[in-house]
Amino acid sequence: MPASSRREFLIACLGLALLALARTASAETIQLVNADLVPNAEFVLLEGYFDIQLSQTLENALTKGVNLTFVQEVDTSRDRDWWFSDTMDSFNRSVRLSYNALLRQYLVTVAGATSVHETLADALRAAGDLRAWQVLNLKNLHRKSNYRVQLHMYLDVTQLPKPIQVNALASSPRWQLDSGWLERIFKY
Amino acid sequence: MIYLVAFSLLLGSTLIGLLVAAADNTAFFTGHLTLLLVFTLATVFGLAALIIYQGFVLVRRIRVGVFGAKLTARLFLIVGLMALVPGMVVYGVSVQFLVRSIESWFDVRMERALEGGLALGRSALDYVRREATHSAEGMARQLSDLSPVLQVAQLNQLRESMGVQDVLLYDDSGKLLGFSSSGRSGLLPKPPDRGVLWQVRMQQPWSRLEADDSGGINVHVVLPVNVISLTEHMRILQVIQPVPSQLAQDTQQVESARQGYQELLLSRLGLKRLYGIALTLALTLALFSAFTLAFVLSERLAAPLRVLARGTRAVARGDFSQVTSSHSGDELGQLTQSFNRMTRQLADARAAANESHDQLVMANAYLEGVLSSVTAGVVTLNADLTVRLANPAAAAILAVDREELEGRPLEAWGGAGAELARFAADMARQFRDHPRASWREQVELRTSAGPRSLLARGTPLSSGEQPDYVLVLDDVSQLIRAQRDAAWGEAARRMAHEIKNPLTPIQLSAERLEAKLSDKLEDADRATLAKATATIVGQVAAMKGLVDAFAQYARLPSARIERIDLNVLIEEVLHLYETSLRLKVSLAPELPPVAADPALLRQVVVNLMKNALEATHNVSEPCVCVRSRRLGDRVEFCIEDNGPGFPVELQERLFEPYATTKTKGTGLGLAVVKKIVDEHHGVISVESAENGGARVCVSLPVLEDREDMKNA
Repeated sequence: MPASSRREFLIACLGLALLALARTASAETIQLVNADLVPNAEFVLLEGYFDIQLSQTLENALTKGVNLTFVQEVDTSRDRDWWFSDTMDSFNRSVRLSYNALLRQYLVTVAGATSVHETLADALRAAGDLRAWQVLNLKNLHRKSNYRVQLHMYLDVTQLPKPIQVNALASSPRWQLDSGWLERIFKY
Repeated sequence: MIYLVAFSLLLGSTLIGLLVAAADNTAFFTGHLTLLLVFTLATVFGLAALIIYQGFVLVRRIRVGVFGAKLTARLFLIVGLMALVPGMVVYGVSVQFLVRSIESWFDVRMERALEGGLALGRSALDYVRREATHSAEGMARQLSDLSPVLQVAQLNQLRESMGVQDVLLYDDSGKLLGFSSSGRSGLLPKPPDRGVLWQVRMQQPWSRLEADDSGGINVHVVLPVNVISLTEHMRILQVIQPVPSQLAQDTQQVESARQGYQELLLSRLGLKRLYGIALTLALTLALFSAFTLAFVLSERLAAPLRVLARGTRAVARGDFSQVTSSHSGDELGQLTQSFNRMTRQLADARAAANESHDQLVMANAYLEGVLSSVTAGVVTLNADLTVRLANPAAAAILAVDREELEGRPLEAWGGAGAELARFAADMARQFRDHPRASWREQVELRTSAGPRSLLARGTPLSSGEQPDYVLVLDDVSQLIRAQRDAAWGEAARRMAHEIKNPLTPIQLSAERLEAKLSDKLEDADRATLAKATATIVGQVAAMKGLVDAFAQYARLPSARIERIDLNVLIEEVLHLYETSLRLKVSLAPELPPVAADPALLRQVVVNLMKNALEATHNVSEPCVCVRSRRLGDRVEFCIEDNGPGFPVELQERLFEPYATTKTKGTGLGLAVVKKIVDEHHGVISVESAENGGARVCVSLPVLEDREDMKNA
């Protein structure tokens, strides 16, 4: 085994071992800039956006044609006075960010709808947008209760091409993007 | 173990297949790559740990000393090396080859060509866009010349003259005014975004290339249509022109090729890692299966050896049970069978040896029994006159322990200057004088149990150069004494007979002489005659007494054994002497009875007392001490005087008739005593007392009970 590949192999092993730690310890370059729960006639809408900053590695991969898939996840629950909180719904949706080198355009696909952006900043802004997500149905809510809405956005490494996943596992800090769970409380 | 190998081989091949499939980047296994990798690495480490564990087990077995462990270890190492060396070579070559071949996919020229193709495509598309923008600008100019009412009506004509696909006209708020299309779909295209409208209202034309869902590329151009009339607001023209399909297709192919290439470039490290892990797994799998097979095979090889070793140890312990023979027909099986045959023969030989040993022991015991029941003393000697064996009789005759005889050279018997040493030296001299011939000699030996006459016979046991010897000692003291006693008895009887016969005629003749002649003689002569006759009669009477005594000695009456209390008997006798001398009497109380003839025993006591009395005749303060005591199963009484004692030269023959120191007496007293004591199975001993006098002790066996008395 040549020295370089052995080193890589060792790094890969180390990376796997540190995977669990790295997941939580990675630099959070997805940050929730603002998020508000706004009720309208029927639903409670989640408005706001995540500020996504790609590492150099990720940006490089994106411009070379690798699709980045983000997942936005929402868990809702109702607080109860004397017991654990009542878990209600959890939703997730994936946001795909890709680059067309020929047209020099960034494409953001959310739930089948694609938007075209000239700059990366615009594309990231579009990808991080929560787009008035309907998270709670007012019909199902109890009066005078506290509702917790937990929010999470991360880069889904498993959607990357598999050889790149191996790299991502080996050097996770450069590939991990995770906002961690954030919480908003809605009083009804 | 075999199942483990089979299982790990199956698992390993599955994992390798999955890893290779994963490297192909198919949809298969999406999302579980991490799990797969972790599992694979765990398998690799698990297999390595198993190899190390096997090694550890082997080392421990060698430490403990399990038989066959070293063989197992050697096979383990050999097979391991045989697997490791080619495995490592193939592994190294594969990894090198893999790295090289993955690197060889990537080429600067290729990359440049793809980038160039992309740039070409971009410029071609830009050209199309500029053309479209140009057409759109011309249309905008023509439209601006028209009145607002005619603009919508002329739209279709303008579109056809410019050769564009779709033309849309909006007012400044983005409301659609007119639409003309050559497309077959007839669908209304998407209106421009707010940002675009805002930009166009600022008199900034906007154009963009957009890919549609069917794979084509469209040029979107949005332009302001300025109106001369001040009352009218500006209009916004949107022109959509498709890029020629061949161009779109080609450029998109270039783009996708470049994208694939770039992705591959990005993922080459991951690919190397994936293949590296798969290869490492394959290597450890091969090593593990080789090592485990070596382990199992060497265990199988060593198992019959271990059985044999166990059998050998059992044989060493003396257990000749058969080893379970393996049914394999190979050399090991043959070895086991040979071992079993050998064990059987050993067992037979051992049984035979045991049997002969038993016979030998029995023969020895028999010989020992014979030797110890023989009254003659038998001593066997080596050629250098070291004593090998001495039977109990020999020890009894010499009055020493057997330990003092056995194992010592003949010359080392007894202490320096002791009687025994002199005797042994004599024997040794005889053996040296007659190394190859038998000899016999009669020896007088003073032992601690009294003087003995011994008949010693030496015989060489074989006729060899250095023969062993046997020395036979016969205690002939009793025999000699009996012969002497018999001789004396016979002499006494004859003498009594021969002497007694003439005595009566002599006496009668003397009395008759006196009766016939006394009247005829003078007084003086008569007196002489009477005196002479009296002398003759007196001497004849004395001679008769003497002869009676002899007769008594020669024919002692046979004993009438009774139960006797010795103390009572002694007291009866002592009663007679109470007045004549000073007696010191100490009789042990509660003496057990003895079996004896009271008359004979009384005579013994009387004779001894008489001797003591006579011995103390000339002593100023005569004193006789009488005592009795119990000595084990015998009763002893001693009579001791303070007279001059026995002279040393007489001690050997004290009990023979006429061995006397006295001027008076028959000299038969002690001889009679000895004879009576012998008849009572007693022992008489004479020794010098502390005050110089003589002490005579007689010991008699205790009468055990009435049964014994009746039998006696």
